[in-house]
Amino acid sequence: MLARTLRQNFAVLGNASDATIRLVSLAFLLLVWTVAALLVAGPSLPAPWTVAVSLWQHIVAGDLPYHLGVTLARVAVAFVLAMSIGTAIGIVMGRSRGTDMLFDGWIVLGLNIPALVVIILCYIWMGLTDVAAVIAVAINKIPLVVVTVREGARAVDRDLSQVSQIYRFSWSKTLTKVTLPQLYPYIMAAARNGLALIWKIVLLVELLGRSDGVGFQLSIYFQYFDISAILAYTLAFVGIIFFIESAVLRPLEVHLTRWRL
Amino acid sequence: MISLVVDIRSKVFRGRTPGESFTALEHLRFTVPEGEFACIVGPSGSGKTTLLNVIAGLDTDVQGTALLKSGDGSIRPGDVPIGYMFQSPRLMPWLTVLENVKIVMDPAGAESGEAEHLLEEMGLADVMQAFSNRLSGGMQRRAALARAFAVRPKLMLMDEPFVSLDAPTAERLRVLLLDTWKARRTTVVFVTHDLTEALHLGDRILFLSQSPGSVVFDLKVPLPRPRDPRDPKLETLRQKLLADYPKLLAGLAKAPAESA
Repeated sequence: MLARTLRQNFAVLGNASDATIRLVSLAFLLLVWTVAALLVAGPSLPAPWTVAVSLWQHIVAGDLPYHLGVTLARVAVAFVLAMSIGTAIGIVMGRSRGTDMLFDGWIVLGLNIPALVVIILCYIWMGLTDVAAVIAVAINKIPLVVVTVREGARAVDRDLSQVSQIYRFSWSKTLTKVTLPQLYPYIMAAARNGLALIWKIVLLVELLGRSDGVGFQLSIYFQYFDISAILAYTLAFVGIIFFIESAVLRPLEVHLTRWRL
Repeated sequence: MISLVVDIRSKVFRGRTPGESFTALEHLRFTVPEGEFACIVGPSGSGKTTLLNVIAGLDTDVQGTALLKSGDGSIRPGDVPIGYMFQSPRLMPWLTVLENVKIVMDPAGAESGEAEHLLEEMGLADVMQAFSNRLSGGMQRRAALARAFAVRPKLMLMDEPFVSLDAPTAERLRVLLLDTWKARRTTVVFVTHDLTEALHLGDRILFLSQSPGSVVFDLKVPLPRPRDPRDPKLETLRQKLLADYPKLLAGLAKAPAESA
């Protein structure tokens, strides 16, 4: 009986549009949270509406928008830095066997150094500054971008490179019209994974050595055991990243790969 | 008067070990005068594509030269505008048909409307704004032909460009190619393994041997233009060639179908 009802429900889901399914899934998560909060009935798991109130208060007080802005700025700088440097290195390593062999060990090393070690070393060597913070985040991300883009650069179509050679394309025309379009799927994959990784590491960097930003705020509310505030900050931040992902990165990817059949 | 002078002593593909080395071309010499439509005919594996890549400058690891010579000196074909039609169209799928043609032109040329004109000539006026991978195989080849002529080439290299097309489409494209060539009088080196195609198109046919490829027979095609590929005279000539040079053309007589 139950199984049959479930099957029917899923059949309904199958007919609904993607957006509806996402919405239903989110609502279900909210329901689970509410039930759990009611069962716990204590400060260690506040109910959704308690968090909503906390979120509102922090927005009105101005501290949440400020620290959110600071963190987003760091995420943006680290993201641009990591993507551009990582893409450049990835293309070079993917196109040149010699360079690849020479630096492959570095990349493996970079992939395996814990983020925490990079952060600590950057702070020690460069001081507790924003520059050190952003560089630490970028260094953590660059090897991952390199590995993804290198994979794409290795698969660049030799036939089309010959076309650019025959028709004597300039260096920049070959890059923008022949090479990069083949790399966009790889670069976009690196960007989307990168955003998720970078904002997590930025929080860690802020926790360890900055006196503003979401990471710093979380450490304060941790000391006060203000779980509502921690969840409020988290929700606000996740919401914004989700917005960037769905309103910027995904449409951009669709646009860049619209020629695909 | 600029003519293409090819003088290749040898072209060797080196393997990992000396035993794996493979000589693709050897003692290959010929001259194509300006404006001539020269067909290169040879069996599979006779190094026809290798020859075109050497002429185009895509392959520089070769003993010998392929030069454009005129009264006042010689230049490598790679240093002047050349067109190259590969066995596949090789269009950029992320560009529209029009962009694919404009991309090979200089900025002034791209603005001049010549790209549009060429595409109209090829009967592609309606699909100029479509992404090139949305087109049929025959249309993609026409776009590639337009691209190759868009650079106003001094030399046009064609590597079995109409292979793998259905017969009527291939024939329409051959007529289109001849019209375009006639209007521009570009020097053409056209590689094929199809003797009928060569007799239809060429002023002259150079027959390559089995590898290592060299010119074993140089035929001036004694047929007036315009030619009809179904003309019995063309077929008679083909049969006569096959009968007179059975050994030479053995690889070709079998079947044009077992292509590259």
